[in-house]
Amino acid sequence: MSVSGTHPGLSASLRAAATGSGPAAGLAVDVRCARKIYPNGLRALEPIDLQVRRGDFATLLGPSGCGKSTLLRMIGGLSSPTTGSVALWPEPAAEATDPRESGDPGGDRRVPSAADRKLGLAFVFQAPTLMPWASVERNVRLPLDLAGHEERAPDKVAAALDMVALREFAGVYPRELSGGMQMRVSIARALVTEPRLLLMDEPFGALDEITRNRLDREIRDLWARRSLTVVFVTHSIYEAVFLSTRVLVMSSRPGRIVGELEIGEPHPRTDAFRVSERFARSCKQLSDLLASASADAVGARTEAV
Amino acid sequence: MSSRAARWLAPAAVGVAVLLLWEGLVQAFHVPFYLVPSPVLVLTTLVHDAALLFSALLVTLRITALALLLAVALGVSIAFVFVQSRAVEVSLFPYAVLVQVTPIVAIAPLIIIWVKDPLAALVVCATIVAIFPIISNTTLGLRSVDPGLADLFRLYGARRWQVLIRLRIPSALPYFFAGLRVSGGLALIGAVVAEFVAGTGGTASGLAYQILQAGLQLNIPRLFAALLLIMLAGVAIFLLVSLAAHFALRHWHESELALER
Repeated sequence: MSVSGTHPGLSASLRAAATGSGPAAGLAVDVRCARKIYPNGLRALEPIDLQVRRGDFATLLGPSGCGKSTLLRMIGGLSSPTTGSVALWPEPAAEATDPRESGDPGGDRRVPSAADRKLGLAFVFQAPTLMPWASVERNVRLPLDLAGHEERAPDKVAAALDMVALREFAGVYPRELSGGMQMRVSIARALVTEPRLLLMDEPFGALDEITRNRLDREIRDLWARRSLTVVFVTHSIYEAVFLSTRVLVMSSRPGRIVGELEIGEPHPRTDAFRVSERFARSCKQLSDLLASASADAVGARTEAV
Repeated sequence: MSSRAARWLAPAAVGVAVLLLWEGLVQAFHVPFYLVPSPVLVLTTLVHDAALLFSALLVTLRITALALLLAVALGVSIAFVFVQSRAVEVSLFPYAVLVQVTPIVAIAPLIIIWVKDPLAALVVCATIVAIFPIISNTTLGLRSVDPGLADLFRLYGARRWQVLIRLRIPSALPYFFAGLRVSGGLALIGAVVAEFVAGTGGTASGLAYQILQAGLQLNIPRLFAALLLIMLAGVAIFLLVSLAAHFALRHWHESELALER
């Protein structure tokens, strides 16, 4: 079913961003009215609209339990919205589609399909999620093996391992690596398919601050070099400000987006940025947004009582 | 003394001490050999009756090996069927338990009547005894997949067989080997018990048959020698299975990493 006669939805979210490095204007992720209600009645996500531009480094920031991971899993196709739609790389016509018109995945309502996933979507989980029985090399190779892309696989694996500076550890088993190195293997595995969209779910949450800051720098460099689109989930305000071109603040119970902040600082961002006044100001703004959101939530609950 | 040497030397010292005490007590109190033979007498009997006892051992080991192979082949196949759907597992698992809890001595006579070939009948009995740990452990293992890895495979559009071969089977290996370790011993016990029940209706040549005959003839030293062979066979099976587990898991699984340190 094709949609015609609709104006391409060049919404406000498409305004040119000073920091955007995307090759073309357009959306990478288009979430419309997505809502998640679990079978037990728990409302994990209120209807959410989220547009991520190509080339964005978009961060979902919020407290635990605000549904940011749920939203990210929906974008990755690991969880489907109860209502609403999620589209990756939507065509201009599809961007204007009203998802409420159709409840059929084959129609206007698109959820990321297997083809979308193979076409350059990668996910980095909270934990390294490596196969303990396979060497670093075989772990990184997995996405290529599963897709049946055997040709040039060794070169691609070597290139991906180079990107995270782990080439000499190709033959090592995951247990022999530190937590930070395991996470870098996980990132190499995500990059081996040369994805266009990288989804990261609090990937460095379990690491010490020094390692975390270093990996933040590395991921930011990769984003710039590879003209990736990244959707990043974190509960750290500092990490969000350092990494993102755009931060979306979420609030919990039920999860919703309560505010958004563009971080205009150009690339490359160095550690000097972390101690700059601009950094502190952005952190303050986000902190205020989070505080007012949780105050609202408390207020709403009190009223309900 | 290194801890590695201690692991071998300490139990060996206990064994030698017990044997010396046994020998000493038998000699000191002039215990007749038809009640409790001395360790030296058991050993000399073993050497003297070597031809008879070792050919009997081979018969029992053959039954054990065939039963263990059958238990692994059947048990793993059943586990694969179980993990295809919860409905299948829920419908069939109680019957697997039924097989497990039925005393083999109670059904062995039936099997020996039903199955014409004596060797086959004994193998069937021993398989029934050995199969349950393989089924339950392998099923548990095939289900114990890291949810994060399952998500990852889904994300990359893995097919069912890819998930099976690349994710479920490797995840199940440690569980399978734990089951195999138990089943190896059970297969031997099953073989011996089945031989006992079968008596002259069986192959009339295994170790259990020799124990029965020796008991009837009050040839207690030979009974002890046969018993010793069964115990040694059990230990050997356990070591073999442990070795196989070690080679399969040594690179990654915690159970085998502890051995290396």
